[in-house]
Amino acid sequence: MRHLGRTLAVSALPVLCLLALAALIQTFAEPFQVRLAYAFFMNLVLALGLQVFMGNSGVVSFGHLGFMGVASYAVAILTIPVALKATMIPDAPFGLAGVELSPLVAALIAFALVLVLAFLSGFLVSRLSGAAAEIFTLALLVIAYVVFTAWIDLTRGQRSLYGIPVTSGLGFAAAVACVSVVVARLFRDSDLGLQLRASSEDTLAARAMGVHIGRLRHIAWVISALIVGAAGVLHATYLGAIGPNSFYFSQTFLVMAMIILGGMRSVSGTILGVLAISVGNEIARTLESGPVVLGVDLPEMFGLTGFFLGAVIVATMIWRRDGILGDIEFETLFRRRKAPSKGGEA
Amino acid sequence: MSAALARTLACRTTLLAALLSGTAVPVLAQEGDPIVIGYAAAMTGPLATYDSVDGARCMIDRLNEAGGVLGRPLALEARDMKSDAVLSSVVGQELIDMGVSAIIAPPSDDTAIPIAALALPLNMAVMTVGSTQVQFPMASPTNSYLTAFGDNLSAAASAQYAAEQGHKTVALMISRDFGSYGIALPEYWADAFEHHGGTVVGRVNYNIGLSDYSAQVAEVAAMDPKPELIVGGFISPEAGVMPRQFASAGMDVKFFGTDGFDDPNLLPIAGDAADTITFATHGFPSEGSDLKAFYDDCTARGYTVQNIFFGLAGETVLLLKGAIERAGSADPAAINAALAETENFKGITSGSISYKGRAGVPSKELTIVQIQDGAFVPVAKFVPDYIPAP
Repeated sequence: MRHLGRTLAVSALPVLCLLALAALIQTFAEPFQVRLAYAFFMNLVLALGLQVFMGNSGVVSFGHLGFMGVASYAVAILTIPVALKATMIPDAPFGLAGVELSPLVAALIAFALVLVLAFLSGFLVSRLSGAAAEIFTLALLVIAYVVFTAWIDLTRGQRSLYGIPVTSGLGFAAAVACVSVVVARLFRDSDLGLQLRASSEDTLAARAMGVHIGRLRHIAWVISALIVGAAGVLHATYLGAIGPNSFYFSQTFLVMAMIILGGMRSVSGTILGVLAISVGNEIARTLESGPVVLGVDLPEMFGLTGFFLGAVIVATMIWRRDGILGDIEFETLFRRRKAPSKGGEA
Repeated sequence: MSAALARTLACRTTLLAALLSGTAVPVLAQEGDPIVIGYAAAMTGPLATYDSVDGARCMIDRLNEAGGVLGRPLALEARDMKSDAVLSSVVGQELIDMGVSAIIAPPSDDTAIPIAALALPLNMAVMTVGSTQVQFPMASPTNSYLTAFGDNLSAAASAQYAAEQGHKTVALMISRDFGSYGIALPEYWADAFEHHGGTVVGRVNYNIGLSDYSAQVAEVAAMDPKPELIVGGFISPEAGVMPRQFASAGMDVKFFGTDGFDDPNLLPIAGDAADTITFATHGFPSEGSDLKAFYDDCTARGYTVQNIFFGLAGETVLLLKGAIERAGSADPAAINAALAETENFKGITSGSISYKGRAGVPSKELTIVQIQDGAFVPVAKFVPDYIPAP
């Protein structure tokens, strides 16, 4: 808790920048760019959630999209009007076909559900390490996907659930992203975060120093699942329709690319990675449809964004394996800039 | 402003000249701004098979050569939505921001429904090329349209043909491994078959991707009475593997289904057992058909015809062109209103397409194809009498 004040102070810079960005886009941009910005903030929440677990524990997780899906489906099933549910999921278990809640209550229930699932699965993930832990998270993703596609009475399987009240907007997404930034920074700067990172560097040494690695991983797992769940709520309440394929491999790898590029050990790196991939993807998307740039009529090059994403991961792996920022945060970056002029050492 | 003024003046001058000379004004094609159709297409990703920008583009080339619509050329703005639901809504909004007159949406309901919701305040029509999922129009019935048939319609046609051939008993094969096609299609089929006097003697579950279906063969063999037909929402490779394994087990059954069988790769997989297959599909490019003419013309123009969705994309553009003509305007709401009233429209895959009173799920003439001596042979064409509720 002694870091609280300092963490809040250093979080102010990214939070203010993000809020300013959202305000500028909401005021001046075209409606489709507002949707793009929304996707950016949603991906940022998702990436920050992953960062809390992966960045601190050093264990790669492929399974978090499952928690996003659980939250999305929970909100969808609880908020879709009863009349619509009568045509889509009339035989929903637990009497859910007759339940219609406000988005806020539904979101709270979705968080509670994610909390329970993350707490239970956390017992397993905290006992595994290395490849076994990663394969376990992958298995979680597959299990979640199978439940979404096979529990047809509840989720409609591959057919989508629609009619979710569209209640979210850019301002809300930006606010959730800012809260996520602060939570991720608070965890990173806390004793727990520091000890967990120490355990990822050298498990034996950390254990010898009295670090409860399993317990710390469990805590990080639950916090990260809750943040990812928030991304799920943002997804369902903005699109109004959800299907299981939004919570599977392609989205997992997109977010992986974002945090690998920026540097998963740092919250600032994660923000930078999400921003860089989002902007890069949009530039590639604009170029691929063959626009006229500086008087040159470019040819259509569909598939360019996929190429761009692959190139980014390869380049990062070759030149900066720890990502752009490594484990440095924004404030350290500025301090380092200043340092040579004062003391002459970098 | 000045351009519009000049155009008005030119128009009036032409009109005056025509009045003076006593002749009708020739409609000048390609005059005026293009009428833009937006296409949020799955160009990459798992849905890419079911969309065809080339098919839409080729149809637009043909229509523009023939004078365009309302004297204005058509134009296509295509954007890749990468088979992703979030990007799909971004792309849909981007097309709406551009001021398109109508939108062609991606082929799955979770990617198409958000676009239909965005277009709804403008009453803009949103059509999907590849989807046969009736829930897309159900989610936004006043502005969403399938170009392809719904699974209930194709199942009805297939079942009606089976009943007309004198078949009485069927076993359904159900898979929960992929989409509604594996689950809902056999049930639609059974509904229509029972309506025509047939009986369902049993239901068998199967998983896709296995090489050995002897358990399912044994289950069907143990049924009493023995079914004459096997029906399932089969996709490749099971569409070929199933008939082959039933035939090699010495079972005398015929396979009925819908467009999942419509795949040239079926023949080598099914081998001799292919001749037991009959299915209802979108259309067949037989000699002298409109679909064949479209394919040939587009191939000559340098396009590559990948599959039936090339033809369906062309048909989508044709349906929109018809609606624009009947509306007499490029206004999105007017086009949507005219499209909803479409009746007995002659398409390319189908000789008769109607949306009137059907909330976006077309009633269409379907083609029944049978495999005879290792070749696809169209055997019937009709609009089914009875259609199961979606």
